[in-house]
Amino acid sequence: MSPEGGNGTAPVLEVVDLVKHYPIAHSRAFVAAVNGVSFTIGKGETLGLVGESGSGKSTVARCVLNLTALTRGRILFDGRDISRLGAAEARALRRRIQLVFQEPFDSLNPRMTIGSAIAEPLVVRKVEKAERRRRVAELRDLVHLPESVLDLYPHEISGGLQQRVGIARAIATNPTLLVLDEPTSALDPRARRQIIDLLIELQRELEMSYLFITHDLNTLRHISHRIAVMYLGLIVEEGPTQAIFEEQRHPYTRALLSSVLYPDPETRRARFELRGEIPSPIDLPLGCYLASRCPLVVDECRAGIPPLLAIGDGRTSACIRHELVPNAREAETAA
Amino acid sequence: MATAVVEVARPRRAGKLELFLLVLRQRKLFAFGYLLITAIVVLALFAPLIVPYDPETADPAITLAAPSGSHWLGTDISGMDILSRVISSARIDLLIAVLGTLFSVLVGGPLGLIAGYFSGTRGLWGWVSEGMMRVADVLQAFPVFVLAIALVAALGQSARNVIIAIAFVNAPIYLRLLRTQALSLRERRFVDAARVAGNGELRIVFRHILPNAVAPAIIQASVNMGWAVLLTAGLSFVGAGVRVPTPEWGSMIAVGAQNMITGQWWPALFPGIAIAVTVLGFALIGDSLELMLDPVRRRQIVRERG
Amino acid sequence: MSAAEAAAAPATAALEVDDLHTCFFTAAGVVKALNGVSLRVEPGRMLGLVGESGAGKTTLAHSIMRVVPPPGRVVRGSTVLFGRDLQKLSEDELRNLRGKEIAMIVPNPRAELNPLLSIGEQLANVARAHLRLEKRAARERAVEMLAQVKIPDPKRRADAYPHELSGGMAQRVVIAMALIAEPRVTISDDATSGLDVTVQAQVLDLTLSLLRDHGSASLMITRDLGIVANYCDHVAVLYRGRVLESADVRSFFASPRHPYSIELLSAFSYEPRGEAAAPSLPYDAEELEMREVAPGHLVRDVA
Repeated sequence: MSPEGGNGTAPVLEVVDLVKHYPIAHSRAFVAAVNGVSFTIGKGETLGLVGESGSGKSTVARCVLNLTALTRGRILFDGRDISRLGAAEARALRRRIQLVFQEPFDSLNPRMTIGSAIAEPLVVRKVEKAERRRRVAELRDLVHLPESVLDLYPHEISGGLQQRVGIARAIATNPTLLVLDEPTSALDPRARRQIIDLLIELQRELEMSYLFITHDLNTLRHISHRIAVMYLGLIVEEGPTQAIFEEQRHPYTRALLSSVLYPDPETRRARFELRGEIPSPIDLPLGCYLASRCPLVVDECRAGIPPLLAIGDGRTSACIRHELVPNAREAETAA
Repeated sequence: MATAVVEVARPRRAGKLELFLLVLRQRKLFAFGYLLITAIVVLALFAPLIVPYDPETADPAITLAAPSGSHWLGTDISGMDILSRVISSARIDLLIAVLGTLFSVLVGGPLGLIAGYFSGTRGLWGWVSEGMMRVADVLQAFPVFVLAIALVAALGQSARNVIIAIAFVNAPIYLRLLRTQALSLRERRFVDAARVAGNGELRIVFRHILPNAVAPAIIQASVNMGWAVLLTAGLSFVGAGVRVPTPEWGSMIAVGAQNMITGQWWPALFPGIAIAVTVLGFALIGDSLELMLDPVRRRQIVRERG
Repeated sequence: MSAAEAAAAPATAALEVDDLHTCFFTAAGVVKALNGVSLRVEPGRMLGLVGESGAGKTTLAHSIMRVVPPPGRVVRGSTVLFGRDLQKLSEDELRNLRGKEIAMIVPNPRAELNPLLSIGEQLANVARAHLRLEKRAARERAVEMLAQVKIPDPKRRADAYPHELSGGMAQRVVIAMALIAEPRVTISDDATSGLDVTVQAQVLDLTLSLLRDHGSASLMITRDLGIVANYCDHVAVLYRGRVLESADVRSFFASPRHPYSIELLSAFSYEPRGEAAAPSLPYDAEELEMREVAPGHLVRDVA
């Protein structure tokens, strides 16, 4: 696996300056969910999009999936702008961009057996019966589902198995891009780990690209090639996974990572704490959105929104003081 | 590639019959409801074999005879045996009620699902959805009984038209009920998932929403069955339903009511009891279905008392 | 509980659960949610109880507090709080104890708070009920408690209603409510799982320091081994209604013994694992003895 991904070939997905504002009823104000986000995903590559509630990461996913209209910007899939398609074209596209949901149980019809849930995308596309049976067996094998679950109902199997069903459904039509919307956050630790391993294995076998949305940086550690960190509708830092985990170049990324609790009582780390609460997306501050909470803040930070700039080694940061973000290792020894 | 070696243990499903028997054992009142309706249905089915006299043959020699050994429930003003008539009436009353309710579900249900699923959306279906609700509003603005009389008057007096009237006045109930169901079900994630899987809108409505919305409709229908009996009898009582001498509870009461003032209570009382018992039976069945089909209330059914 | 552990333990535990069995009598049959659970929390200590869904964690919390919803029932065992068996108290005695001697912090704070009362009133009500304070003093105590859970501008915030608070703030209010009467034992049931990571870390830091200040013993129920490693003194692994392993935190993370504990811990590691992607087998739930493998480190034998 190449940590860079993309490697020269045309990207599978290219999001350019995406803006999504939700109007508020009976008011001229709006909720600024996404405020200008750009990224690309190469063939067979995983981009981890990480952020807390209110970061706009799920809105980005909805836009990519064509489940909501954008306010501004473009979304190119295989070089073609897909952000303003008609209903028929959008449906045709769904074969190639698929979604895995956060809550595996909620996303399965409670009155449909596992077997018919997996077969459904094929039924919809009028695949004939014999071929359908063959493909369901193949999908079941790909996601390592035991045959005995096929005639059970969703509530009769564990969350981990439910999510395998969700993945089997998603890959039934051989998509190029999978959007994974917190696919493991509702699961128990062992199931979570198994699903991550499964996704890695499927990516290698089927050469899919992943857009992996999560609030938990740690989940991305071994599935993601690159990570983009979102805060209040903006990407504040982006770079190769390894590099981001080793050294954070934005105070928000630092705060996120220092909040991760490692299962090791010997390394209780020093916290890099942000003050106060996240500003309202209805009434955003003028300068850097983190300024009111950041321990590194100076007057300049409030002058304007700092742009996301290249800082070398394939990384970008939107912090004008990115060199001063304390290193995790230094913090550890200081603690 | 690694193959799955794990076999998932088949979870123990509480069988539907098992659940049903548990409920009957624990709630004696529900068991009573099923007993009543079963008895009425059996009587209706085998009425010709059971009744002691022909229900439509008048015997002018014994008009208005009080209950006795030969006529257990007495005779009416034409000298027809009331026991035979009460039993035979169940045939037509139940037939009208069942068919009327069935058609109202079949018409109101699907329309309600469409109205709910497309409610508030743009385009043709959104308009259709809005339109249906306004029609339902207008229909429900009339008292049910008045509307039913007007329909029978317009269509002509026959059992078939009484069925149509009952279906028509009840359809808005199912329209609203299933609309509400569809409105909440369409927000569920599995509906999003179905859309992402490539389902068309109507397929989502009938393949994904419908199976999750039938339980409340079944509960409502069983309660409604009792009301339909009442409505049928009511129409006959005012002369807009089934005509004498066809045995029918409502018309029996209408005829018998004239004799109440002169002290002959039996021609009106016994068909009245029959109606009350039928309505009660269906209501109890409705309650028991609610207990069994509602996943939250189902938890109250326990194997042993805690 | 084994003789070895009983001998090593000091005289009075803050909370001692012994051979607890709780069953649910459902239409589909009897479900044994707890199958002989024994635990011990020392005064001032924090015991992390880890387990996945279906292990019986919440049932354990409910059984200790004696609030198991029907058709569930504690069928055997004791839950002893500083020498008094909660299972044997009358409903009245128990009501006095809940909130005052033993409190519970639950997730989903919005469901826990009354939407029609200001948070100050709700806190003051608890203070009045359990501390027998009069109105003014109770209000002061409420504001003081809000300050302790680091709600900014507590005097003004006391007049806020639950819907005006963010998730993290509401969770802190719930913690303040649980701790206002200074209970001697606190049970926290997955209380931070719904919070954002940065907020979760703050709330946990805060809870820990408050519990230490108040000298309260606590049972921290979670499925996150990270929380256990960072905040707890002891750990017990619950699986299908049984404790499989219980140990000092350092001993556990350095050398977990039960195969289930080992698999659970490996799920948190960062090393790529290759193709072991089949769903894992359920572990054998045979009734076997707990054995002491190191001082204070008990493991259930594997069949």
